[in-house]
Amino acid sequence: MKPESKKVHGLDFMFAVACYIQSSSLLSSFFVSITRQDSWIIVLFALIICCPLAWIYARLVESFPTKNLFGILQTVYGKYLGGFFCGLYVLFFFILTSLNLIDLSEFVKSTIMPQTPLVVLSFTFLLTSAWAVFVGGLRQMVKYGFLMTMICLLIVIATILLSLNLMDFENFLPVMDLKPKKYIQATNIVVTIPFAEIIIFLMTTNHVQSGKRGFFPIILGGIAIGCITILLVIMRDITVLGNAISLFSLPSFETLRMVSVTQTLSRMEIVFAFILIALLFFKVTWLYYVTVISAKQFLRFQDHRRLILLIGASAITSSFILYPNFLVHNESGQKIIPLVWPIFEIILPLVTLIIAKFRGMTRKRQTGSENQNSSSASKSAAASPSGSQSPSGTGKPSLPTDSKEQSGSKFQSNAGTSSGTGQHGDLRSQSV
Amino acid sequence: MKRKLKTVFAMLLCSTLLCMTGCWDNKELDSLSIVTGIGIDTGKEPGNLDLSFQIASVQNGSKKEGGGGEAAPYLIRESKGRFVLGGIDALRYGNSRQLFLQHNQVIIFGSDVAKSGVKPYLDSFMRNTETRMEVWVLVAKNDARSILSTKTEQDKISSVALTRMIMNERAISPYSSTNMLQFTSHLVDRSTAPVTLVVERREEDGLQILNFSGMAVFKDDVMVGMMDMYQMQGYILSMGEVNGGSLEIVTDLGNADLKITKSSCKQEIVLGDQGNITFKLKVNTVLAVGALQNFRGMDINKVISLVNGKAKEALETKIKACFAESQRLQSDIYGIGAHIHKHHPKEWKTMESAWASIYPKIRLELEVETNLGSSGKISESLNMREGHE
Repeated sequence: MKPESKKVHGLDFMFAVACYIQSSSLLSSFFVSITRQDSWIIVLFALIICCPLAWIYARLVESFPTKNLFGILQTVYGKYLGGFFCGLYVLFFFILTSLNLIDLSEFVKSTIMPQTPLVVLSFTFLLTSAWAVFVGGLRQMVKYGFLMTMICLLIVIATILLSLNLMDFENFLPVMDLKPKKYIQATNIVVTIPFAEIIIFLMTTNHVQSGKRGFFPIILGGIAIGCITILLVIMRDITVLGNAISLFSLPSFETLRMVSVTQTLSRMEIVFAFILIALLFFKVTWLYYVTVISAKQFLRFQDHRRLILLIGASAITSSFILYPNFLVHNESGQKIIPLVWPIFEIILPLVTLIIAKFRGMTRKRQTGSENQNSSSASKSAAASPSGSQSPSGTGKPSLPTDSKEQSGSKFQSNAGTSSGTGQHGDLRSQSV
Repeated sequence: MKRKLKTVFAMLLCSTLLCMTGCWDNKELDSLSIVTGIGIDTGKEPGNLDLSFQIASVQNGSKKEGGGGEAAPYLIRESKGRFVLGGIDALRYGNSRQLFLQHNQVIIFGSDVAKSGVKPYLDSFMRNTETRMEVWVLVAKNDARSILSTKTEQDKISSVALTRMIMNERAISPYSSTNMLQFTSHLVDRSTAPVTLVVERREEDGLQILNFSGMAVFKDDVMVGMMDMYQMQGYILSMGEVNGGSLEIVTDLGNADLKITKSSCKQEIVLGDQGNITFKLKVNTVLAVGALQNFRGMDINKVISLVNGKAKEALETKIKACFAESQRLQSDIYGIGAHIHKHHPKEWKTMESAWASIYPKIRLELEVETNLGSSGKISESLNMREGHE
């Protein structure tokens, strides 16, 4: 993971977001068992709800274009409260990494390698992810997003075509026949578990070139592509499995096991299993990457590399401690996580945006070209009437600087008077 | 320093290859007992099961015919247990190879087990990661073991023979055969009664043969009755498309054997104002003459017209007989309840709890159209010629 000297293109970032959401298609059992044949409607509800959420994220990022999430939190809430929230987010990212790691390992164990110990699978995956985090940077991380997204879409379309002979479109009926409470519960699950988890990307948005239209179309585009994929997967599973869909812990995999075009063209689930593993691996690597850079920023480590193996080892350990078995994990995914995750994914970003707005910290969206010229902007900020100085004294925010200088407390009092506030706060995040 | 770290990392990554060779999950062909069929019968002791596993013998199965005195290409292993898993586990102690269920073709329930309910046993199979939901579910007319141990001639392994027979049946109509997913789906649905093919073993001229003798009808997971082939044909004709089968017409003037070329059925369920339900069926069948006997001296057009009318009556009788039997058994094999649930969910809420008592009161409105279009390569039969001048 190298300091990012050049920004990532917005489209690449969009596909990374899309791929992240696509990889969650395996977790459909969390809500499919609640809303059964209406689960596809839930995905659409979730997409509608995610539109304002994408706007909140985009507005937050555009208000502080040179900061990542932690920079924003410390700017808005100050050193101590902001630090406290950052600590909570580190824990949140860490738990997400552990949960997704155990999901990945459980999937491999239940489908391909039933006798291999889970710890070996987790260790192997995490070690490979650690290598990716160690040698790759953000550019390398997003580079594969487009390819993976397209492969996933192609696979989903191919499986739809191959399972056409098994589909019964009457399985969608009756529509909206369940209690409203169930729709609310399931929508909450879909929003919180795959969709709003993209808050992890806010740790890297300061390295993304958003373009003229800002971050909203990028984030929403990523969500929409991911949502369409999940929608197709859910619809395929409902039409093939019918009302029995609620029984399976991995409905998608069971659908793929049913695909049999001829006697020779059957039992192809292993091909799809590898694709799903690749997607989940992409997700785990992203989460691991974000956990490492957030922990580095929170703990003020100078070298993130010292944290990679430490966090990885902790993630493997915690993945076995968090839940005793998949049933408890599933129940938690239905009842506990959808109540806790929104604090980090929806409430805190929303409150942060509102506070930033009231304190006059937000500013109009910068265009891509303006965003790229942030160094010149910081120079002008340094010469602003408020008299705030660049903490590094260099006026070059793209370079890593001492984190002590970037606590944000120095320029809290000047916040809102100058656009330069955001530029200064960026210095730490740029060193990520 | 950086280079050293990279080297260490690279070495660590390479070492993971040792873990990725699948040491724990390697499955050599000579260490597996490939199960091709499972039979479940009630045991002599109450509450116990007699489980039969048909295990394909790869070596024998691949041998060419000839030489005489060859051993069967499969072996039957039996175990007893209260649960399916217990039975599988019990086999470990007497089997040098591990049971491998990925290639299982059929699960056959003995009629005694089917009459006592199959849910507990299906549950075991659904939980097993090796079992596939496309496995066919059958009911044996007597015991399941005898079906699996049948020495079929053309396909040496009886479960493989059964699978091919099912595929042949499905080429005509997919409604009578049921795989585990469809069976489970009907059980989850609660109103639709699952049906499966009934298989029996017969001996003809010293040869053992397997034969589908009808259809087992379930109410929830308990088999409540069996329909014979006559009623089964009525069932498949009223469910949708049929692409084969025959129809025997017996009249005072002569007999005819008709081939069902194609048949389609349009179902409509009408809910009356007073809660009465009408099940409307419009069957359109295209027939071809397979054989004509007698009809001495009759004109071919008159014969066709007569046979066509009789065919219509015969089809109506079949369909009505099947419907009446399903009402007698209180088993909604047509999925009428599921249809009401899907298309009239509000009305269904009032019916759901009392569906078993509502179903027998459903009125059937049947409209059959037959079209005897083809007479084959010849028109008049040999007997018909005899009366002509």
